[in-house]
Amino acid sequence: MRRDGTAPQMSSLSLLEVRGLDLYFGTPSGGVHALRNVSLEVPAAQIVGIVGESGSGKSTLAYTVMGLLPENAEVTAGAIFFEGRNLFNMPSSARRGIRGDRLSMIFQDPMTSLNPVRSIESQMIDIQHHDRLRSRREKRARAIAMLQRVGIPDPDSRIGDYPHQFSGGMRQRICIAMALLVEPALLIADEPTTALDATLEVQIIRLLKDLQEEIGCAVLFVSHHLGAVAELCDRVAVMYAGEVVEQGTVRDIFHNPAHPYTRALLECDPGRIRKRTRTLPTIPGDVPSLLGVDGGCIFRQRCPSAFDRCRQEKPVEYRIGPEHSARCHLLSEEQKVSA
Amino acid sequence: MSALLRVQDLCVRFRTMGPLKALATGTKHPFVDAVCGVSFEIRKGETLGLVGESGSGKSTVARAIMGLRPPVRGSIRFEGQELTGLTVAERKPYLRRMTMTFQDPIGSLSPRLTVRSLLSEPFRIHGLSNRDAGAETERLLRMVGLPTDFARRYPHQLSGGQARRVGVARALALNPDLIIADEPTAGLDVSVQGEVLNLFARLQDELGIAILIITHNLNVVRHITDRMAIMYLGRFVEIGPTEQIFDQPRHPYTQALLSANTEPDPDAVLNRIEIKGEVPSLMRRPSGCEFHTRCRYVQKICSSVFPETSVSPNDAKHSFKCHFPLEPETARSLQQRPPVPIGSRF
Repeated sequence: MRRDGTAPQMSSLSLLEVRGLDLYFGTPSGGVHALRNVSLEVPAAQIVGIVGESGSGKSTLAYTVMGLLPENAEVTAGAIFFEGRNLFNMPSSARRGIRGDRLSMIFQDPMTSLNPVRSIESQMIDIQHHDRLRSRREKRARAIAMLQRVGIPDPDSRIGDYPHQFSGGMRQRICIAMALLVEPALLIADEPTTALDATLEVQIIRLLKDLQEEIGCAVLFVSHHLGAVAELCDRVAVMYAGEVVEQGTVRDIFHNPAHPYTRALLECDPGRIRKRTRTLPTIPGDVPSLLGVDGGCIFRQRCPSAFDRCRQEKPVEYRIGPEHSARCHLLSEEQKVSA
Repeated sequence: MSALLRVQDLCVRFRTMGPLKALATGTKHPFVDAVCGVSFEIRKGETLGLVGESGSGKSTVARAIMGLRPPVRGSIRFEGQELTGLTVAERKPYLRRMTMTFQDPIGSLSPRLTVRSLLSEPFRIHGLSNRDAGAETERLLRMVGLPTDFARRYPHQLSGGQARRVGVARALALNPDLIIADEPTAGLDVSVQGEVLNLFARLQDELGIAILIITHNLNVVRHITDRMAIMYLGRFVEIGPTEQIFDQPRHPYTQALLSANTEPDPDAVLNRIEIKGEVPSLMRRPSGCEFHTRCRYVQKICSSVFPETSVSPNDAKHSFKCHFPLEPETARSLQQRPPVPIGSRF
């Protein structure tokens, strides 16, 4: 095992690279340090999952990439490279040119992410506004073909309908159709299945996977549902309280978790527990406040294996495998020898 | 053991349009039957799970039992006393003995009241204000595992899990015999979800409360319920002991629903039975067996004849509505895979 203080060397081929990102939200009681030294990469044509509980910063990260942060957010360090260009150094017009063309997004709630007073047709034509070559009629035909592809029955007549005329699952399908209509290089999906039933969730996951293979785009899939991530993703980053505590391939994370938080999170999932039990495992304690974060490991108050060093020093990123790394002092060589 | 709550042939109906519009459009039946002929009972200290997709009528059953939505037909008996048709005042003593926790943990607490007033409100409502509110609040907060200084907080100062606990504490205030928990884990993280469910299990062990739990999370149902009922379009399609249903589902819908569980393991081989399409609209109920439009085993008879309730030959408590119930072998094809090992690094 090699001690590696820097972020993992990233290949020049990565579509999206987040490097050492620090983000604060200004609040009346001080700055909330919502993302701390976050590094992540999304290779082209791969599905990368971000898992974590509420408040872990996974959606904030997705919104940062998309450029949809609220006004009180301030990025104090780090960079996001998308197709080799730093998004933060870009004029806003150039950034707008990427959004809805190379980058597109699906939101959590399909009920509110469509405009209720405009028909699906006009919204699906609008989203192709970057495309200046096709006529309106061609755009409409593409929209219909896409609706057909995502499984909306009778798209020819239904394209004129309004969002309220569709069920929740249908609306999420429409959102996916819209996001992929522009053939993005990267699709950001922020909890796209959270508001749906289990039967619809598996349908949507299957659809996303099929479409991703057809279009060949990369997907950044944000979810707190471990089952969905295991099923869909190639790589996974685990976030806790604004930090990426562990990342690796989906098998690294689910079969060989290295960080105590990842292990605890996996153990909590009742889907893993086969034998009927009256007492389910939990992670004792609460997520720490992000107002004024101190130097130690962020997970130490809830960690079953915390020791002195965890309070004094922030763990750096340790390499475990070719693509697997975690931030935990237990992984340092010295500790492994003495423990 | 005798039944604490017995529901028979419950039907709840919602109006879809006003009488004038119905007349103008020639609609003969301007209603939807959200719950249709549901019968079940809950014994003392038992946990029954109500499972189904959105819109299957789970919450409506709960609301009808609590008297929040009058049924058009059927009977709801609590310890033998008929509750339907009672006036609000007549119903009040029973509402002391059965309470409900609502789906939205923060939305179901008044934003203008402190946790203390929220927790002492049940005593005021039921004319027990002579009790020491401060002491009762402390007792309840301790019972659900919250620090006693939470009494001064307002709902917006609580996290989802904490608000859920306050909701449970409120439901427990008057020592009920039955708690109806509507989606108690919706919107909670896995780590907190375990805490809330453990709380229910502990309270049941300590106080002998019966629980009706409404959820679409099958993993939850499997661990904490004794019996489960599966709802589809406002009807029970299958009801029986939880373990037996997980082991040998007899209704194809149950089988498909159970297989729609995502596995937290990238290498899991999923024998998934995908249900085609979506739940049909309640306004246009399919003929015959209402699941026939999505069923993979559909036969001719299914689209015309409504299946009567049949009982499993080896267990009279396990019943289902299907013309061609799954045989144990077919059901077994979904059998549980061996547990997923988590590699041990430490």
